[in-house]
Amino acid sequence: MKNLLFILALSFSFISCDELTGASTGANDISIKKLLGDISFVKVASDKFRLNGVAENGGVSAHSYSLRFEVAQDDSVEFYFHSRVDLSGGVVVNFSRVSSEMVRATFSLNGIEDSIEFESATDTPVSVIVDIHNNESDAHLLMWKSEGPFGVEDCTEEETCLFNSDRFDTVWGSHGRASGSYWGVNSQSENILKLEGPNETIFDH
Amino acid sequence: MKRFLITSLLLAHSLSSAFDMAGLQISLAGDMIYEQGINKDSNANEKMTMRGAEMMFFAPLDHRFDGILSAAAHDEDGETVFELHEMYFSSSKIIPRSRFKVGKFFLGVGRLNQIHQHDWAFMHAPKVQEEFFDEEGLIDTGVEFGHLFNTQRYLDLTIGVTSGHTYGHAHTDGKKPKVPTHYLSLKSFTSFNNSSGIQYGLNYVGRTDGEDNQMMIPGFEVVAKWREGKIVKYLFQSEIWYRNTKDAQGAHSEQLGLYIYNQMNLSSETDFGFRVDLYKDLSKRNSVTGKKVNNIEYNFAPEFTWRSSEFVKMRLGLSHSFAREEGMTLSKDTRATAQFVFILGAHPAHSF
Repeated sequence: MKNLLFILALSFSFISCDELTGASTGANDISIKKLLGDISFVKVASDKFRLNGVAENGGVSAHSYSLRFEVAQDDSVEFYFHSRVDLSGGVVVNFSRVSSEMVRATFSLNGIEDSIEFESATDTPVSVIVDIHNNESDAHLLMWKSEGPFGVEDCTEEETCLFNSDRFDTVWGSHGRASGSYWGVNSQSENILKLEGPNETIFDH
Repeated sequence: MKRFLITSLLLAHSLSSAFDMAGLQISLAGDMIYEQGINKDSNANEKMTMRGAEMMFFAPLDHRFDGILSAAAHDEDGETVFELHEMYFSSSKIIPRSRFKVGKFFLGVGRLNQIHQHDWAFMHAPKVQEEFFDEEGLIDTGVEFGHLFNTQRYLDLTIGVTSGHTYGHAHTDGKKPKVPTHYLSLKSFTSFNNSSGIQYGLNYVGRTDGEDNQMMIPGFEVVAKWREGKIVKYLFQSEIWYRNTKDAQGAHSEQLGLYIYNQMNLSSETDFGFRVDLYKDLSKRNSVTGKKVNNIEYNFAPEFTWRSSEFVKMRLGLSHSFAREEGMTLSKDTRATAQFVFILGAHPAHSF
């Protein structure tokens, strides 16, 4: 018994004190102070940006993202959640304007695609909150207007949410999880007004 | 929920009367939790929750096979969800020194994963258990085989293969994986005397999902008990797990977690326990600087248990958890928790 305890104690000597206390290494010191929607970013490609903030637990986690942006006629804004470092392999949500009053949101993950349309006038920014529950065996995706209501069960029928991949009779059900922990956006930068994430989910199972 | 309990009691009574001679045993377990936040950032739900109600039927099917069926109702976000937990038949009488089970069951890997939550030595799942295996444990459908080697040293090997269509928390049927969930557990035991000893084991769980994400989780467990008669005077229990996932493009993600639990007996009906949890994301990088982020999460949980009998126990405890990253404390949650667990009817014996 004493030998076992000694081995356990010895194993901790291979871990530095800094690693046990979560001490600063400078990893989060961002020298470039440019912001996109109030969030630091790094450019991945033309008009494609990887945003500051990483999903917990290697991406096997649940988070919400608050998005406020403008989308003009014949334009689109595309967001990536729980993606790899190059913003591939994750949940893709594409917002495009279908008319002066309506915006279409298309959710894609692992080859499954699903769209909804909701009211949002051209002269009003789109303001939504997206929940990505990537800690479920098949990721659970939800979206609400930022001002609510924040329904979950039967919410698409009751119009208390904009989108719920868990709703009955959908294309979803065996789509798996997203592969990464990064998030980002593909848009002209002047369209992006305010972004927040990854935050705690609106809906907690 | 009320309807479930009433139906269970009526069914249990009628079945018990009908099948008494066939050795059918019935067990009902109720697990209630109340959490009270202490610091302002606590996420404690501050209401009494019927965390779980479990109904279990077990009996010899014939001279070779045994059968188990258990169903449970859980509180999920205020809604009671009723589901089949385990349904399998097993035998330890066909192949010498061996046992097998076929059906749906908690995977025979690790320490906590093989014990129903209401029977745990503490109230809440450690962080590593929640993140790697789901809060209550990994359940799946498949086949498991165990063999006790004919060696001087106690050596028991369990291997299993299950469907792997889902892994962890799931509200869907899932998708056929590229490689199903597979696991092994190699345990040994050293006795100190007739009633005390230490069990330790190496464990492994693996799976490749339908999107070609490979997951490997090796782990090590230790359980030591010092008994005087029927009373466990001191319990030491610990598990350490490491998870490595590789996605279809070869990107790796690594996490490490462990818990260490010590429990001391205070009197014939009371115990005091203290658990420390530790969890680290070893591959987390800042998405802008690209540098590895130093992070760690801790939970400290002292608990006091009073056992009126083996059928009723109450617990009172505190937990203080916090997450630190790059020199900053990201979150702190301090809460008090009370638990009440009762068992109606028979209760199957646990191995060490």
